[in-house]
Amino acid sequence: MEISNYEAVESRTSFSAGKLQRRHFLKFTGAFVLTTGVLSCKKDKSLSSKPQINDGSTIDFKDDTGIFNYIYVLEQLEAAFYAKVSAAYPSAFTATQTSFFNDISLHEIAHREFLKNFLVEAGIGNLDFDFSSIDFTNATAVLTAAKTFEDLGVAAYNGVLAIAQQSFTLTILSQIVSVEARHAAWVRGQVITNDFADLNALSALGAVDANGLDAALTPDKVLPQLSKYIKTPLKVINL
Amino acid sequence: MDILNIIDEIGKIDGEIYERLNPRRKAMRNFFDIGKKLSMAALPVALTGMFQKAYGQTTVNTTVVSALNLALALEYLEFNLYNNALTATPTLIPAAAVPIITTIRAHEQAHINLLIATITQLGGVPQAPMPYTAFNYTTISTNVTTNYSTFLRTAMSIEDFGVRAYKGQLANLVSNQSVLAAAAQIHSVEARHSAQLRKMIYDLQIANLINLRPWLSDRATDAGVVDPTNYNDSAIGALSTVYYQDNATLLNAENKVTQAGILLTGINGFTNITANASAQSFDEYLLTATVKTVANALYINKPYQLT
Repeated sequence: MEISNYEAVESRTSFSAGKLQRRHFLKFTGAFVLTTGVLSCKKDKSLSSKPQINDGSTIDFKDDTGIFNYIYVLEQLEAAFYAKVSAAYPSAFTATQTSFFNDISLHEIAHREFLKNFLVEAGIGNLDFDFSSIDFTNATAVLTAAKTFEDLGVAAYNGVLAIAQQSFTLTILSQIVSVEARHAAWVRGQVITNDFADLNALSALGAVDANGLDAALTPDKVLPQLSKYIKTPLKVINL
Repeated sequence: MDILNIIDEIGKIDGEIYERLNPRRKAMRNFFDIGKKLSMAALPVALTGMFQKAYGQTTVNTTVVSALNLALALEYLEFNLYNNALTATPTLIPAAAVPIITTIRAHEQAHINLLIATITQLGGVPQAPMPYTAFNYTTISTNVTTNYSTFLRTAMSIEDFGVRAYKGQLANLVSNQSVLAAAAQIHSVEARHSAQLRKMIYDLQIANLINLRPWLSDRATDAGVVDPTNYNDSAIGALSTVYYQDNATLLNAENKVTQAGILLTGINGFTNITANASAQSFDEYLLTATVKTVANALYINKPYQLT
C-alpha cells in the first residue's frame, strides 16, 4: 500500500467495496502476534459492494465497518458513564478532578457523535447501559470505574488498529487512542499515585512491560468485560 | 498460540511449507538463534520474520525499516534526556518524582531494545546508537539540567512530538501487522508519558501553565480564559510554529475541529462541544519529512542529524 499522505480526507463512502484492500499472505503471517487464533485464522471473506445498512445492533467484523461499530460501542459506553458522573460529581472530588472529568466527558461525546455521523446507516443504534454496579457518589468508585473503562479503551483500540483494512481507519483509530491513553494515564494516577503507565499491572490487558508495550486486546477479549454494562443485545459476527 | 496449527493451516495452501521452514535453511536457523535471545513476547515478531524469509522475501522492506529507524532516533532523544537527569544531575529531580522518571526511562530503553531487535530481524540496519551529546535539550531553556520545571517542560514537548511522530509512521507499517501492532502499543505508552508529565507540570502550578491539561488543548490564561486562537498550550514560543500547530490551514493542525469531513464543533446539537473540546478529542500526526525537519531544528546536533 503506497501512502504518501494519509490525511483522513476520504469520506465515509470509502466503505464501498472498491476501496477495501485485501491483505494478502505476507500480512497474514504477521497476524498472530497479538491476535492469537481468532483473527489470525480469519479466512478471506467476500466483501459486499452494496451500501451497508445496520439492523441497529450488529457488529460485523468482515470489514472496517465492524471496527468502527465496535469502537462506537466503547465510545457510547464511555460517554454515558461520564455523563452520569458529571450529572452529580462525587462530593469528595477535587476542583481539578471535576474540571478534568468535564474535559474527558466532552471528548467522549465528541468521539461518540463523530462515529454516529461517520457510520450513519451502517452504524448500530443508541445503546442502553446499566451502571448500577457503580456507586456514583463515591469518588474512589467513580475513579476506579473510569480507570477500567479507559484502560480497556486503550487495549481495544490497540487491538484493532493493526487489523484495520484501510489506512484511513488506522489514522482515525490512532488519533483517538492517544487521547484515551492520556485519559487512562491521568485517571490511573488519581487512583494510585504514579500509576500512569504500570505495564505490569496492565499485562492482564495485553501489555508487555519488558518491551514497553501498552495494553492491546482483541474484541473477543474486550466485549465480555463490558457485557455487564451493556443492556442492549449485540450481535457480533465474522470476528 | 498454537504455531503448529497455523503452520498446518498454511500447509493446506502451500504443500512445501515444511521445506520452506526447514532448519537447514538460513531463515529457520536465524529464527531459532534469535528465539533464544528474545523474550517470549518478542517471539511473534521474530516468527513473522521467519515466515517472510521462508516465503522468499529477500529484499528488505525499506519503508518499514525506515519508519522504525526514525522511531529509534526519537527513542534515543527521549531516553537520553531522562537518563542524563537520573545519572548526571541526580539533584535535579525531586525524590518523589524519581520513580516516575525511572519508569519512563525504562520504557524508552525497552522501546530501543525492541526496535533494534525488530529492525535487525527484518534484515535492516538499526540507526547507530545516539549518545546524550547527539542532542540539544536547550530549546525550551538552557537551564534544562538545573531547573526542574524546564526539565519537565522539555520532556513533555519531546513526548508530544514522539506521539505525533509515531502516529505518522503507523501507515508505513501496514505491510507488517505484528510490527504495526507493537508500534501502536508503543505509541499509546508515549501518550501516557506525555499525560503524566503534563500532570506533573500542572501540579507545580507554574505561571502561564496553571491550566495545563494532560491532553493537548487551547492555551488558557492563568485566570482560566481560553484563547481559541492559540493551540500552543506549552507556552513555548519556539514550538508554536512547529508542532503545537495553530495553523488551521494545515491538514494536521493540532487545533483542527473537522475530522474525516465531519465538523465536531457543536456536533448534533451538543453546544458544549466547543472548538477547544473538538480539537482536544483527536490528536494529530506528523509525517516523516516534518518530523525530521523539526527534530533537526530543535533537538539533534549536527553530526547526528536525520537525513
